[in-house]
This record gives sequence, structure tokens and C-alpha cells, in this order.
Amino acid sequence: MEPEEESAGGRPFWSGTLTFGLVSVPVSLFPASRSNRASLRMLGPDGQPLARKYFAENTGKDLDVDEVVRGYEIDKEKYVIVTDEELERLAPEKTRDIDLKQFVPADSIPPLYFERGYFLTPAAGSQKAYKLLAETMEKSGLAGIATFVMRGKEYLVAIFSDKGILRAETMRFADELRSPSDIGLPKKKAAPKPTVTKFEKLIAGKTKKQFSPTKLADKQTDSLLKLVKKKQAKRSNVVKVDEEVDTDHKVVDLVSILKKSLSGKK
Amino acid sequence: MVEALQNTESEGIAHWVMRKKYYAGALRAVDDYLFLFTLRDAKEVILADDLTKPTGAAPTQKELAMAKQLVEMLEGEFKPSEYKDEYRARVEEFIEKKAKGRAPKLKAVKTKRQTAALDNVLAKSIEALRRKEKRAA
Repeated sequence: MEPEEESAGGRPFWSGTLTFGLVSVPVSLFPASRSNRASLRMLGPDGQPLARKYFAENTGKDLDVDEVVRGYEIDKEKYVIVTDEELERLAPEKTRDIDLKQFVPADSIPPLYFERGYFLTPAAGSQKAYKLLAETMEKSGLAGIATFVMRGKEYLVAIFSDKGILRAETMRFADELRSPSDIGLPKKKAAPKPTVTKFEKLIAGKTKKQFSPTKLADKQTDSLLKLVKKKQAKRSNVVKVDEEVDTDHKVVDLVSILKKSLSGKK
Repeated sequence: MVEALQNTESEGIAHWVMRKKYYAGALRAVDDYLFLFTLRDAKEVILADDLTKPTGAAPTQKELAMAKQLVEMLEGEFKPSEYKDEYRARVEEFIEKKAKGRAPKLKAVKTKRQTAALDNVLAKSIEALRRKEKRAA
């Protein structure tokens, strides 16, 4: 899942149904994080904006995105074409539904498993069932576990409830994780006591009572933006690019999209 | 370091540059080893606090009690090795057959939805699970 694929223009990343028992809760998925890295646009040497296009090497013909199909290479230069419909039909029970067959204590899942977070918003008419599940899970401190298929890939997912809002965390499968012995780490030997005490003292001296997220600021992006400002002020290396017309490049405000979706407005 | 982190019940916040890219993360002791978890910049993350609760009808006390019962019947321990990526194998098998010109017919995906009232569906779900448990016993 590349950030480029993230809900362009405010559309949900995936729409489907959460089920527990025979209860179904139609929902939409929106990413819970957005890339904050300064986006750099590719330009020609004189500042002309560049576009990417598919073209067929043997005919030299340009292709539109909707003409492109996907193929699986079975032999050199030999492909089997697989359609999205076929991919969906290969796992009919998993492409539309996230079936929560199991619930586990929410704090029992090691963070090593987590990959990416998505907020779930109720589809029209499913608000009551959504709230029912959210409230039940939050009160009992449980998270729901399931596997489902999204965009041609199967995911292990945990559904959490936080402040009345459901969130999905995609997870790695157990066989995707490497153990310390897999990468050849030796078994731990006890460290000499004085060294441990020294480290403990060092840690104590640097310990803060609370975690402050500002400590995670992305300094690289900040300094890049500073450089851009400086260049702009000096009018050096500034090229003018024509006004953006393509809506795909518009900055999407995820928070307002989510709020709208949670309030049932489209 | 592992022992010191374990004994003080703390974790470190670290910054580093790897392949010309800047990272921030947490250094934790997991089992007997050091783990570095990369973390996202605070500005990149949306929290439930930034959002508003969904609007619409609220469930009744009876529905909540039944949902609690249902979820507790499905409660268990997190056993990650029980979940497998089966889909990949299915795709590969399908491609192999299609390559030989013998692609099996695939049924259309149907979406079946409950139309009954929520409390009815909950009662039926609990009943179905009970029957399943009895059969297993």
C-alpha cells in the first residue's frame, strides 16, 4: 500500500462489512495517517511539470490507465491476465466482509505485528450497529481479529474501539516476522551488574514522565521546507509551474473527510 | 542495555538517519533483545481525539447486553500462528489453471445482509453459537 494509493479525492480506501455473529456493520475504511514528507514534484530542466504515462514498448502507443490490465508472468515474456473480478471471486467470503470470528484482550497483541491504521466509518443506516460494536468492545477492552482481502492481498487485521470510533490495524502474519534466532542473534548472556547499574542511572537521568509526540518531529522535512523558503526569498532557483488542474494532486484534508463520514454526510 | 531497560521499565526515544532518510522511533526491550520501532511524526497521525463520534441512533440497553454476551462467547487468546495467508495460494492455483486454458468458473460475490431488527439478529447469533458449542462438546 503506497501512499499514492490512499483515498484520492476523499473516497474511502476500501468499503465492506464488519460482521460479528450474524450482525453486519457496513463500513468504509480511511487511512489513519498521512504522509507529511515534503512532496517533491518531478520537473524538466527548465521547470516544466512532467507527467507519467504508460506506453506499450512494441507498438509505441500511449495507454490510458483504464486500458491497463494486470498479468502474472508464468514464463519469460508469457503472462496470464488476471482481472479484478477474478481476484475478488477467488475469496468471496473475504473480499467484502471482515468477519470477526475472535475477540482478544486489546492490550495482548504485541506491537511488532502492526503495520498500518485505518479508521472505520459507518455506512448509511448502519450507525446503530456500529455504535453497538464500538461500545461493546470498548467496555470489555477487547479487539476483534479477522483476515480479509483488500486489493488482491490478504491481511490479518485487528479492530480496536477508541472513544466511540472503530479503527482497523493491518498486521503481519506470524510467518512474516523473523525471530532473533532467524537472523542469527546469539542467546543473551547476563551483563555484569555494575554496567547494568550504570545504564540504569543514565536512563533515570533522561527519563520523562510522559511521552511527548513532538519528540518525533520529522526534522528532515522541516529543514527541506526551510530551504525552500530561503530559496523563495532569494528568488534563486524558483521556477513557475502552471496552476494545477489535475484534481488527483489536490491536497486532501483527511480529518474533515473522516468527520463528514462519521456524521453520516456524504 | 536490555537489562537496564527492563529493570527501569522504560523505553528510549531515538533519532537516526538510515539511507539518507531521517527516522524517529522507540527502543524497547522485547524478550531478551533490543527492538527499534520506527514511529510516525506526530503530524502524520490522526487520533480518535481529532474526530467526532458517529451520529445516529444509539443501541438500547438490551442490545448492549446481548452484544456483550455474543462478544464474550467469541473471546479467546491472541494466537497469531492460527491465521494464515490462504489467498495467495488460491491466486497462484487459479493462475496455473488459467495458463493451461482451464480456468474454473468463479461464482459472483453476493452480499447478504441482515434485514431483521438488531435485537433479533443478536439473539439468533447467540443461539447459533450455543448450538455450535454443544456440537463441539
